Formats: sequence, C-alpha cells, structure tokens
Amino acid sequence: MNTSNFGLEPLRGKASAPAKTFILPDKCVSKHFGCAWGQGNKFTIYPRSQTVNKSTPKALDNRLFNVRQDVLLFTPILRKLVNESNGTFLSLQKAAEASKTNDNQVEFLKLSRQFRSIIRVCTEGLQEAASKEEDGLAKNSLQSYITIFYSIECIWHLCEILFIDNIPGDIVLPYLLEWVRFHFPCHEQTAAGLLEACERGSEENAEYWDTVVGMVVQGRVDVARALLKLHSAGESNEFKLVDNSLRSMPVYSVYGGISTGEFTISWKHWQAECRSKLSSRVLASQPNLELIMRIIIGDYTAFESIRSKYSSWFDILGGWVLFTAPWSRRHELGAAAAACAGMAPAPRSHLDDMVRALLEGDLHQVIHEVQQISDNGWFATHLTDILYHCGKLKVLDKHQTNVTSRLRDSLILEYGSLLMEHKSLWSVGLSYLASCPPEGPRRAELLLERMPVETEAKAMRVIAEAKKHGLTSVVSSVSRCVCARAQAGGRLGGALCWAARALVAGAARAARACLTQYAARAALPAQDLLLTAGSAMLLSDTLLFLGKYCDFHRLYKSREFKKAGQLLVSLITSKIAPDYFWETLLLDTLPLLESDEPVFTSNDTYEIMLCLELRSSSLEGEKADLMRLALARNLARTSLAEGDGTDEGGQ
Amino acid sequence: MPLDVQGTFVSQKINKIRWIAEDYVETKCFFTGSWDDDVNSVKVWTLESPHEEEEIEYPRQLSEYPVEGDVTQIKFTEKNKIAVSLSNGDVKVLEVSVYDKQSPLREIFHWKKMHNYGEQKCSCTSLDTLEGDIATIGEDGNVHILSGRRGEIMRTISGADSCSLHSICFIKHSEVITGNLRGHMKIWDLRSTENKPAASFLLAGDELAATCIINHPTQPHIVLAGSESGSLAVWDLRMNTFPTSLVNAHTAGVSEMQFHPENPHMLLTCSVSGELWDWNMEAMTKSSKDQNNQVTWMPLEDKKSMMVNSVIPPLSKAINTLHCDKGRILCGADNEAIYLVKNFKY
Amino acid sequence: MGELTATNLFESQTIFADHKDLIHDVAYDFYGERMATCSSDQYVKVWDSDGNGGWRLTASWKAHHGSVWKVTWAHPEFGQVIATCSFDRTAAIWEEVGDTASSGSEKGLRTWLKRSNLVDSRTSVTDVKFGPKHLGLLLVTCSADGIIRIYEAPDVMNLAQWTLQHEIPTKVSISCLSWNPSLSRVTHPPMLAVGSDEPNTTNAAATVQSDKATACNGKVFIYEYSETSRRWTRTDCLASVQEPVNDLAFAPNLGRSFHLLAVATKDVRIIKLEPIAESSGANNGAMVRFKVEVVAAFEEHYSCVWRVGWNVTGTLLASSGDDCCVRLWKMQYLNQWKCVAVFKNEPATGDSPPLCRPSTTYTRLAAMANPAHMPFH
Repeated sequence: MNTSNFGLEPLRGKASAPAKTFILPDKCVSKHFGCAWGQGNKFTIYPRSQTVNKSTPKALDNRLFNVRQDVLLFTPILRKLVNESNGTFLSLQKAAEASKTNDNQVEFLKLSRQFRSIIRVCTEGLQEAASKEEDGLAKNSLQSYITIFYSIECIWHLCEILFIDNIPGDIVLPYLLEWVRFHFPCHEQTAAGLLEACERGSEENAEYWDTVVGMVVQGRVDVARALLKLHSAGESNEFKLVDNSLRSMPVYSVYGGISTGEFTISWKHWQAECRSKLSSRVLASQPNLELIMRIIIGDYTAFESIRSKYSSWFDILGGWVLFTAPWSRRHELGAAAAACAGMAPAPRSHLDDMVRALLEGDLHQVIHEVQQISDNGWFATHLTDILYHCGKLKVLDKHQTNVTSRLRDSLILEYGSLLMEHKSLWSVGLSYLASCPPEGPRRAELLLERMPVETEAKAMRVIAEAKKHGLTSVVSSVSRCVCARAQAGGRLGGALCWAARALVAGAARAARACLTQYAARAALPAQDLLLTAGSAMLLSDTLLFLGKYCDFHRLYKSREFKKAGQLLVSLITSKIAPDYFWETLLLDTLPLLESDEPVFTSNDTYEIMLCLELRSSSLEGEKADLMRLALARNLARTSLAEGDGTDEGGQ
Repeated sequence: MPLDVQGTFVSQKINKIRWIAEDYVETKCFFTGSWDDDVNSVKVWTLESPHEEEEIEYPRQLSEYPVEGDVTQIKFTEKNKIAVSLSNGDVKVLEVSVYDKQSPLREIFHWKKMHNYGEQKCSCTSLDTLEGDIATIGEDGNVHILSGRRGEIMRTISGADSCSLHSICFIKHSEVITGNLRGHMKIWDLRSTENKPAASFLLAGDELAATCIINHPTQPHIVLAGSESGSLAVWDLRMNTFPTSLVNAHTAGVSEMQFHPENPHMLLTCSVSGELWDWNMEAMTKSSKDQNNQVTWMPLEDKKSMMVNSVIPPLSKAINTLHCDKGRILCGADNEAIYLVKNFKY
Repeated sequence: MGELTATNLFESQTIFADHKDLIHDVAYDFYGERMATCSSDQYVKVWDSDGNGGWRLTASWKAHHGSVWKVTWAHPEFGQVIATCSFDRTAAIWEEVGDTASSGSEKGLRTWLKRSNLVDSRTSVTDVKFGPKHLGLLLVTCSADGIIRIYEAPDVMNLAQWTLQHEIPTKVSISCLSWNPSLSRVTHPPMLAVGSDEPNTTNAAATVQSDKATACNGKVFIYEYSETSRRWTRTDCLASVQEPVNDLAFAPNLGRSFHLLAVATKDVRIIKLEPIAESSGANNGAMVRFKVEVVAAFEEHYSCVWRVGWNVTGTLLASSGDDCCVRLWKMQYLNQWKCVAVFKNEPATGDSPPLCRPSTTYTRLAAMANPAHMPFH
C-alpha cells in the first residue's frame, strides 16, 4: 500500500516547472490582446484596444491567431493505441465492478499484460514506420515516439511486478531480473553468438569479458559458466574455482521447501566462502575472474567499476539485488535503487526518476513524473486507473484526506475531454467520460451537444451514443438543432420529423411553419409524413391540428366529400386552429358549400356561420360576403331537404 | 477448425467494407470506406501473412482514394467497379484494376452534388445497384436512377419523401423500395412517370429511421428492413401493408444486413450496439412459400426460435458494416478497426 | 530521454481579418465552426471554417454607426443569430437568411438581416449576451450609464419582436456581464453577474455607499431572478473586488453546487459562490445569499487584465492583460490553479509581409527558454 502526502508542491523539493512561454508568429505591433475560446482547447488571440482611439493607429494589426494544442495521440499510427487501449480500459472497468464482490487480481494482471502488449505492438508499429520513413523530420518525431512508448512499457512492466502481479512469497528477485533482461538486453546477442560458435578461445572476441560479466550481472549464471568454459584457459584451476562458486550459489524458491530464514543462512554461508576464496588471492593473476568474484560477493566498488559500461543503472540493479539481498521483498528495493543510482554521476534522466520513485514505492511521485511524459496523458490515465482498481494507490492531501479517486477521476476526465476534441476519436473520449460520474457525464453533455453534425447520420450516431450513456439532454438538444436547421432551410418535413424526435415544443414551431407556408402558397408540405404520423401528433395542439387538416385534404382529394366536410366542421368548431389560419380554414368550406350534393347539414352550416361572424376580423369584406352568400344558399337547400325527409330536420 | 476472429486497427472509422470477388481463387482483397474523420477515403486492402509459415493473415493497404465527406455506401456495379455514395452529395463509380490492385482506383463516373439543397450540401445517404443500374437517395428526399454503364441519369423522383431517405433496395429492375427517417417505407415503380409511390407502409410505431433494407436472394418478394431502434421487420410484398413480423433484435440501430451468399437461410446482421449476429431464417422462408396459408407463418417475435447466435463478442463501439464470403466475414467498426472472422459455419 | 518531457506543445495559424480599425471582440458559435469579429470600423464579419483547418470570410457588413464593442451568438436552436452592441447606443439582432439568390451567393457570401434594433439605452451599450437557452430566447445588455436591460423574444420565430422585460439601474458604469449557465432551474434561479469599470474616486465610492441596498463598494454584482416576485434583484456584491472590472465570466456548472466566476480586474480572480440554504441564510435580518470565496488571484500579468474566458468544459481559463501576454490557467485535481502556458508577442521590428491568403496553415509555436527556469542538475 502506498501512502503519500500531496501538498501543493510535488515531492522531493523539486519546484514545479514554470509555465512554458510561446512566441506568437508573424510579429505584430499590438501590445494588447483579447482571447476567445472555440471548440475544445482551441482559442483565438486577437490584438485589441480597450479605448476608442479617435485617430486610427499608425500601424494596424488585423491578424487573429488561432492556437490549438498539438496532440501527439491524434497521429494516425498512435490512434491505433488509443482505440485498442480503450477496449482494455472498458474491460478493466467491468472487472473492477465485478471485483467489488470477489477478488479479481488475476483479471487485473491479465488486463495489465494486455495494456503492455498494446504498447509493444504500438512501439513495433512505430519502429516499422520509422524504418520506412524517408523524411528526416518525420523520422525524428517517430524516433521520439518510440523513445516515449519504450519507456512507458518499461515503467508499466516494473509497476506490474511491484504492484499488480501476485508474487509467491513476495520475493521479487526473479521478476526483477526478468525485467532487466527484457528491457536492457545487453550482451545477449554476443553471448548467443559465442555459445553457438562454441569455440575454445572465445576470449579473442573483444566483448568476451564484458559479456561474461554482463551475464553474471543479469543473473544468467548458467550462460556465464558456459561462456567461461569457452575460454582457452577454461580448464585452469582459477576458472574451475569461479565456476564452482557460481554453480554452488543457492537459489531461493518458494516451492523449494526451505524457509527464507534457512535460505538466508545458506546464502550467507556461500557468500562467505566466496569471500574467503577471493581474499586468498588465488585469482590475482586473472583480474576478470576476480571481478566476477567481487561482483558475486556484492562488492560495491566492483559494481561501481562496471557501471560505466552500461547506459543506465537499471542494467545492474538486478545483479545488485541478486548478490546483496536476494530475499528482498517488493517494498524493500529502495536502498538497492539508491545504491545503484549513486554509482555514477550521470545526469539524472526522467526515466531514472520514475524508476527510482517506483522502487521506493512512492507511487504518487511516479504518477507525478509520468504526467510529465508528452503522451497527452495516455500513460498516467491508464496506469493510475489500474493501480486504483487494484487498491494499490493511496494518495492523501495535506489534511490527510484520501484523494486517490479524485486523482484518478481528474486524469480520466482530462484524457476523455482531450479525445472528444477529435473528429473521429470522440466516441472513444465519450466512453472515458461516461465511466467517470458525476462530472464525466456533465462534461460529455457540454462537449457532445457542441459536436458539429453535418449529416443526419452523424446526428443519429451522436444521439445513439448519448442514449447509451443516458445523456438525454443531448438527445433533445441535438434533435432541436437539426430541426432548426431543417426549418431554416425550408425543409419542413425534416423539421417536423426532428421536432418529434426532440419531443418538445419545437414540433409546434415546425407545424406552424407548415401552416403558414400553406396559407401563403397553397401547397401543404410533408403530407406523406402527416398522414402516417402516430403519437408524435400529440406533442402539440398545432401539430394535431395540422395532422387533422392534412387528413381533410386527403379525404377531399379522394372525393370523400361527406367525410371531409365532417372533419372540416369539427376542425372549425373545436377552435384549435391558430388565428392566422382561420381565413384558410373558412375558405376551405366554400367548394363544399357550392358542391352539387349538399355536404354540410343545416346545423353544420349554422356553426360555420357563427364562426364566420365571430372571426370577422380574419376575413376581408369581399371574401366574407362571398362566404355569407354560399352559407345562406346551402342553409336554404339543406333546411328544405331535411325538412322534407325526417323529423330531425324540424328540431 | 474453430471460429477465428482477428481485429486490425486501421486509424479510421470504417463505414463500409466489401470483398472483391475472385474468379477461381479465394477472395483476398477488399474495399473499405471510412467516415466521421477529417479526411475520409476508399481503400483497397489485401490479406497477407507477414511470415510465410504463419497462418495469421493481416490486412495490408494497397491503395487509398481520398474523398470529400463520409463514404456512406459502397456497392458493386460490375465485378471490379463500385458505386460509392458520399455525404457531400456526390456519387462516384470507381474501378479497381483486375491485374494490379495496388494501382490507384480509377474514377469512371462522377456525379457532383447529385443530392443537394440548392447551393448547400446535402448527404447522399445510400445507394443500391442492380445489373449496372444505380439507385441513389439523399437527405433531400430525392431518388435518382443512374446508369453505371453509360454514366447518365435515367430517372429522378424528386420529392419522393418530405423527410430524408436513409435506405434503398432494388426489388426488381423496375422497382425500388425506400425507407426514410421515420421508418416510412415506399415502393416506387420506375416505369411510372408519376412521382407517387406504388405502395407505402410504416416500419414500426416508434417512427424511427429505416437504416437498411435488403431482399431475400431467392424469394425477392420478401423484404427485410432494419430499424434505428435495433428491430427487424419482414414483409411479404405479395401481401403489403404491415410487416408480417417485427422483432426486437439489437439494442441499438441495425447498421447492415446480408443473407449468406451460399446459404439463403442464413442472415447476418450487425448493429450500432456493437453486435454481429447470425440468424437461421430457414423456418421463416420455408413456411412463407405457402402463399395462401398465412397462418403457417412462423412468428418472428420469438427471437430464440429464430436461432440467433452472436458471431463475435460484442464490441464497445458500433459495427457499421459487414460482408460475408463463404466462411469468412469482414466487419468494419467505429473503434477504427477491421475484424476478419474465419472458419464461420454456414 | 529528454524528449519524454516536452509537454504542452501548441500550434497556431494566422488569419488576416482585414478590419479597417481595431478589433474589439471575437466570438465563436456554439460549435466553434463559425467566428464573428467586430471592430471600431463599425463592421461585423463572419468567418466559416472550411472543414480543413482554414477560415473563409462569408459575410461582412456595416452594423452600427459607432465602434462595435461586442458580438455574441445565439444557441443554434434559434437559428443563425448574432447580437452586437455599440458605442452608437444601440444593440442589434442579426439573422442569417438562406437566400441563395442574392448577389454574392455564388461566391459563398451569406446574407445577414437586421431583425431588430434595441434603442433603449441613452449611452454606449457596453456588453450584450444571449441567455441560457432553457430560459427561452433572452438577451441582456448593459450600458455605460449603469442600466441592465433584459429583453425577451416571446415568439422565437419572430426575431423582430423583442420586449423589454426588465430594466435594472445599478448607478455605476457597467462594462461587462455574464449569465450563469447552470442548467438546473430548480436549484439555481436565473443569475447574472455584472462588473463595473467605475474608477475608484472617493466621489464614486460615496455614491455607491449611499445606495442603501448594498453597503458595499465592490465592483461585481450578482443579480438573481425570483419566480415569485417576477423581479431581478441584486443578491450580492462581491466586496473582495474593489478595482475596476474589465471582464467577467461564469464557468460551466458541471452539476456542482457552487458557481465559479472569473473576473478580470487588476489581476485575474476566480471567485467561488456557494448558495446558502434559505433557512441558514438569515443573518441579523439581512439575507446572505452566498458564501463567497476567492479561490485564486493571479498577479502574474503585473498589470491590468482585460479579458477572461473559459473553455467549453470550464477546465481552462484564458486571460489577457497589459503585459502583452495571454495566459492559460488550469485547475489541478485538488482544486489548485496553475498557469500552464503563456503566449507572448514579440514586438515587431519592421513591417511584416501581408498575407496572400486569408488564413495560413497551422505551424508549431516556438517555445521561449524561460529565464527563470534554471537548468536541471
């Protein structure tokens, strides 16, 4: 369990790096700037004045500077990493959910390995691309990506060993050696070459001794012994003595049946023997063999003397632990790291700092360092997340409050928001934000509704994604905007359809536009839609009216005048028609009033007359007169007919 | 051999994927069309084993043809020619060389702004092909019939729909069926000069878009439509009006459907919810042969009786497209990956 | 492995705005796809993203009879609508019309029509902002004589009709305003913050103090709308801001219980406003509405700060001041704020060549070696 305090300042007294200063291009005269935000992390800087200058300034600056972050992860080759790791991240969230009920460490380890293999595939892809790239600049940047992801995998692997893997007995040495061999495979090829050639007198090879020593330092004792046998003096007593010492080195195994205590005793005994052999000066004539003996007794100066042959102190870390404290547990590596790192006054690299912090178990410092890597937060986010879910991360603030989940959330939010800026990667970003409530979904809403939707296909996809994550406000916001755009373009069918999807009063607006357009131009838009629309019609009175009115047109066209007439009368009497539509509605009765066969009953006619008088303002004088005449005529013929026929007419 | 699924990340969202048919050998090359990116393209790929002895085949890009807008549909007009619809309203016919697939695609025809709102852009949402003819649809609600051989516009149904059209399928040479944003399906007789549908009906009551339409390879009167809601509808056009069956299938929109070319009883579907399913439609298609006896129809409501299987574990992102050739299925997805399923039993 | 730590790289492009006088404001639309600029040359210009990183001028018109101070976009749900305010004492509402038959449409030029002219102010209108869309189509203006005016378009289809709903006198010159964007109408009533640029003469201070409602000589006022009284009332005056205010902006709320307000005054301030529950708010008879806390005050500009602005998610704050710098501030995970980047202008030594295209492509910005940054040992 890692516990550390987090104040404002990062640890180890290192001041946080000051903000970088960037120079704007195209030198301009202005001293004053304004700034305006666009989408995501894009913003514009513009020269401005605060006061109104009556006289026009001598030189006028009229340039705007659009500034955006240059995001490494958006390069095509790294998008593979972004997408693939998103799948693993989502599996991890599922595993974490499951681990609430039962221990899921095995699954976590599997996913950690999956992450590493993704990084490795990415690095391989980068290497292949770099080898093919001919442009020097592009090649350079690919090389620097390789460096970045190579280091990331190295750190991740060590993290996995120290915090995620389940190590029997917590004895870390075999894992540590494996890490060193994997990431710093020094001399491996030479050793393999020499062994394959299998020739006596291999010391002719200039790298022979470095290779033997290297194998010893990497804990590959068998290989070292095999190499020693290839020396032309391999059969000499000195060689046999060293071989013997190497062969007799006790190796701890949890399953070996002995306790760590017993092992420690036998190991110390072995080392004491080696020490006495060394002090007997029998090896004085073979300085290389003497060096090997000094290494295996854990002599600091011996390690110090070979340190310069390696590019970093990680190379000798495994050997140092192997020959000084092979029983070390995971949390006991800090001293070894300090010892190895102190062997040469080499400038400290960033990787150094990260490995040191890791070995000291200071995960908080590790994450702080990891955040400095320019991978746009990919590593920090995923590493913090997996450590958090494994329960291996505990960060306290200065009030001793546990802020681990806040750290994890802030990284995920940051990473997710960054991806949301990309035209294609937004759906990946969204899945990060959605996994991080409560702030994630709120951020997702803001970013998602601002996503430009050029096509309906995109709108439908944004809506599907929003629905998947329960962001209902986005569903209606996007639908409303598409509706508004359709309406502005005069596409009323589309507007009605999207309004219905938004389930809002926008439908009324679009319906109104339809009616207004009809009143003005006499072609009812979107009839195919209106005649088949179902429950969407209930969204607003106007829409309901529009639907019914459209049905009237259908009946009229199919010459079902009686039915059409009934519907029209019900539309008139229900008084749900909007004011501006009364004229159209009343005039629609005219042809039916004038038809050969009477369509309206006398009662209907009375109703229409009543409405005409109540709505006299809607109709111009001439039209109103025409209507009155038609109504009177119809009343006359219907009263007559009704009076003739049944009793009803008399009522 | 067990089913083998292999994903390759390709750094673009794949909207359409199509095998390129071969005459005497196993198919090896395929087309992809991308969408939702700053620059989209049609690409030609081949499957290759990087090491001779290895079984695993990886797609390798042979050529790239950048386009403006999203690739919304790819269909073959001839063996080596494809019709491509784009979200900027353009329609293109492109040809891949039979002899050298690595050489760039050749543009045969290009209809600029085939679908449009006057000066403004409008997406050409999909197309279908039959015997060299191309039927295109757009958000403008228009239908165009183009000749993929002569490059001319043969027929235009303007204002075919007041909403945007999202799916189209040739039922026969003189008849197409379209589906719109609300799931309103219309059948058009291309011989008629009137801009009126021969028949129309609704996909479902929820009024969501008809995202794809296909017809049965051996019984062309049976038409299937996938909905934005994830459900699947089946019509027998000899008895139009309501779908004979409507089944709730995927949890989000059906993105593409295909009957297995070798086994007409098998249907493959993929969805925005990231699923790839195979359906055994045998019961349905068999019983439907009995024209007069409607009751023997198998009700589609029960998904289980349809024998639905998940071909691959669901993805977290949408699968936009699938194309099947014998025992191999290609899928393209929104996680910027191509999936190749091998040893699929059909 | 030095390359590991090269974080925060930026790239920039240059756009030649071609205004005939100084630019006062630049505003992006909801999607960040369109950009409006306004200037002392009395013109407003609209620029559209061409989808490939470039910008194309699609409209340019003389909008006012005086310097145009601010330009702002309405939510796209209401169409393509912008509002401007000017020294000519008016504010105007403009709508883009899809008239493709007009001259210039073949060149990709769009037509913007003046839908309404708001002439109620008797002095220069200093700021204009559309309200959060869930409140309908609202517009607020403020003017140099200290009057805040809230307008509403009762019919969102008819942009010609705006009714003046509220007129709030503040008695001090108002330079800027900001709506609280919180979507939660239940917990947060409609809220406005306004800032005053009134210079701190003893006289002015006396006037403010004579205002009985607020015995406070702060320069930032909070107004809230009460559904019950149907009035806007001043619910707070931020005593911590005593110097003239040039700009202010609420951060997006993100479902938080409190609000963050950035203020540009003699320094950059971030102020946290936490509403106090009604019951516990009564204090000696006077209602205390908020717990106010200055969470950050950055003096790095060493001079007057002119503009502040939040990104979409409110995670980055940009500020610009008299020191020729634009600074970006970012909240760390324990709510501390930190400067993450500075953008600086190198004063021109001679005339730079004019641009031949309206916009350039993006190029990586050169970073300056920071003199304060000692090499690491």
